[in-house]
Amino acid sequence: MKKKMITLLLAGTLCLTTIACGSQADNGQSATEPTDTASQQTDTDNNTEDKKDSQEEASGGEDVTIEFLYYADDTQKAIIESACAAYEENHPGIKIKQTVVPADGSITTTIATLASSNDLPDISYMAEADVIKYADAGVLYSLDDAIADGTIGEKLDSVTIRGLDGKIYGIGLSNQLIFMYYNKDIFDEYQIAYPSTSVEDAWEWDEFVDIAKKLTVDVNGNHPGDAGFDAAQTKQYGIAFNSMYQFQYMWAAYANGGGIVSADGTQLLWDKAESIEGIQKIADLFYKDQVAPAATSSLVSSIGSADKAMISGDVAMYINGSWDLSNVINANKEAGVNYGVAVLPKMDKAMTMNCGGPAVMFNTTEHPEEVLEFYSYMMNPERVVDILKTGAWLPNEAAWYTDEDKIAQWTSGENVTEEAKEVILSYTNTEGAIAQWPVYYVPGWGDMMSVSDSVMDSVWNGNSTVEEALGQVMDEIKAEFAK
Amino acid sequence: MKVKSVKKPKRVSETKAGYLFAAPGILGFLIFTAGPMFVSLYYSFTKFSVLQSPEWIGMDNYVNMFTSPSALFLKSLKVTLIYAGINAVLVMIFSVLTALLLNRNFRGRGVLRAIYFLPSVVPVVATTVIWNWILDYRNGLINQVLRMFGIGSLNWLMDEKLIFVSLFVMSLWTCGGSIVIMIAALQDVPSSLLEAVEVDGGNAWHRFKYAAFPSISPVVFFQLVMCLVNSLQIYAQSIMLSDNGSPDRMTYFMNVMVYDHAFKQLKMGLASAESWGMFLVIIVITGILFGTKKYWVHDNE
Repeated sequence: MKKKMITLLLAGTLCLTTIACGSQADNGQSATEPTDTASQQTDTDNNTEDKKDSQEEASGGEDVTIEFLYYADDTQKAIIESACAAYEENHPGIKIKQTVVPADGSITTTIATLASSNDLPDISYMAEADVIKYADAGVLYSLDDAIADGTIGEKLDSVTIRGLDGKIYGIGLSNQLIFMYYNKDIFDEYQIAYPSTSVEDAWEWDEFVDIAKKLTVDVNGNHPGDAGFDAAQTKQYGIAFNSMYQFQYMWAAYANGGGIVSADGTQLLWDKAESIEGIQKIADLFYKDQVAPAATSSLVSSIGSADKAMISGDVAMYINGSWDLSNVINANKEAGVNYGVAVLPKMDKAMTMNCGGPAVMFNTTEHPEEVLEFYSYMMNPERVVDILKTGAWLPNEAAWYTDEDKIAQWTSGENVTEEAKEVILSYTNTEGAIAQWPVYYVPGWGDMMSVSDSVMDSVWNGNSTVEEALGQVMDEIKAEFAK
Repeated sequence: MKVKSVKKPKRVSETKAGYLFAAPGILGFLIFTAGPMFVSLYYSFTKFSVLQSPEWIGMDNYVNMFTSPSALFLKSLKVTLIYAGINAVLVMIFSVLTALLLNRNFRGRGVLRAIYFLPSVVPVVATTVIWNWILDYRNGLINQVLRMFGIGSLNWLMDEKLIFVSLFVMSLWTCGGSIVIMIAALQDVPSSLLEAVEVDGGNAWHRFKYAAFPSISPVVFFQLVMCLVNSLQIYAQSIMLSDNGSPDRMTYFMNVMVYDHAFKQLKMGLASAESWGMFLVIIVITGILFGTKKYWVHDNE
């Protein structure tokens, strides 16, 4: 009898704990749910009260912890960490709790998970296409007031993201341009003149393909176009792409006289013959011209990663964004490879595309004052000159590309080489040489991309032409664009 | 009557105790499995982005899944079924063969058994990373060896057919668990049966066909079902090699697609619908397998 009582008791406690745990989780959720809308109101309506609160807190000597979520590779992580450490030093009482995720698009998943458990950070990097979604969901802090009163300086329009309501919710921490890196040693070996750093002197496309062919060699020393060339046994490639992510090929649509979306956001230019042809020229590099190793559309992929190949000296030219200045130059210096920077080859026009990962502030934050201060600090080129010098970021304000003193500040490091500086300034100071990545001004971009991504891999794999692939889904893209 | 009235309450209290003991399991199932399942069934009829509350759209998700030109459901289903079907059969053949060999009496048998079992202890993420290096096009071990013999490099990870060969090899390398179970089953084969075959003048193949296989067939059947279900749910290998099912969505398996839609594109509704599609596919396939059971599984009953 006694034994039975004990077993019953034990079983009972087991049940109770399960139920208790379950209900606790429920409570937690229901308790935090309303804060979403509640804090939103306090942020906008009772801003003054919040300010008082936070001031009191700060003066009361209590530490304010700012939760900062960002994505980075190892190099960038070290750079951001030291920027945060410098900030903490100058702002006693402020602690910055950093969460770092890999720069492979997983930031979207991370934020979505945090959002669904009502555990959003205070400030975060965000995938460009997500900003409008989160702004629409009402969890982002509108930055217009801070820009109006000068807390945040006037930024490049091309890295500013507005919500459907026209307010600014995200700003690129940096500006980034796509351009070309090349291995000077290989060019010397084949006695080919280096590509230009100036937009006016960009290679013609055909000239570029010819040179790429000369620099592509299989194990028997044959080049593409030679009778015995064996593409499967290519030893050295003329050109490589880090990935075929959107901005790595979309510049070609603009350069060829077409585009993706008109600059005012009203017209879809993607289905124009020139746009399709421009993208096809890039696609041809892989299987028709046979000068590039296979690549896929995923932003970071362990398959076919060109970085390794480039560093080991198996690739003559390499197209990627300016952020790689901090990686490429250093890695190659270590490997003893002599690398240069040049403008992209020209089609109808010589053009590139810009991007720049935005950061957002969540209005669920408990310390809007402090967070905004940190946000504007990270946004201010003057404060982050050390980051700019590494080449990881280009300045996000227009004056930094025209004012000699300011230019000197961010080009003084050894990563932003003289060539890199010339390329960047040539693009920024040439009218119409930079196409803006439409993600910054097209609300339906994310959905348009999930449609086009579903077919573009068949292009990069040589299974279909750009026209065939996009033709299949263009109606759907148009429908998403019109939404 | 008297006896019954005394026994009854005892039985009730025993039942109660039974249910109470089972309660944690039952509650866990209801809260963490059944609950979310039915919620996802509801989501599958909605447009739901996590950020905003679900919006009822009826059958739209299910219709789009099959009809929209950019929908990858059918392609994903195709590659998943191809992979799972072939993989399950390969794993069964390989583990039965290996078990037969490891069941023989020879020196170093224990060491070999351990060697075959070891890879299955390593997490799949780790093994995939290693295989990624081994199969690398330019610097991978296998291609270096192939080049040494003048065969030249093969694009194990980016070729649409070879990627499956790579996945099968990775899968076979880690089927040690299955081999161990097969060995255990083989040891239960009654020696009298084997001897009987020998007395009748049968060779090794006859011993396997008439004695060994029938008696391990229930285990093979169980392993086949489990392996098939696991193969249908392949995920980590694809994700570790590329995040969008390279090359050209040949490794865009069902789970990869569901994750992609749910957590990257924030289309929870569509992802739920696809999960239910996958659930039905698994049920149907398992059902069919059970249907074939009577033709080749030898039941002792």
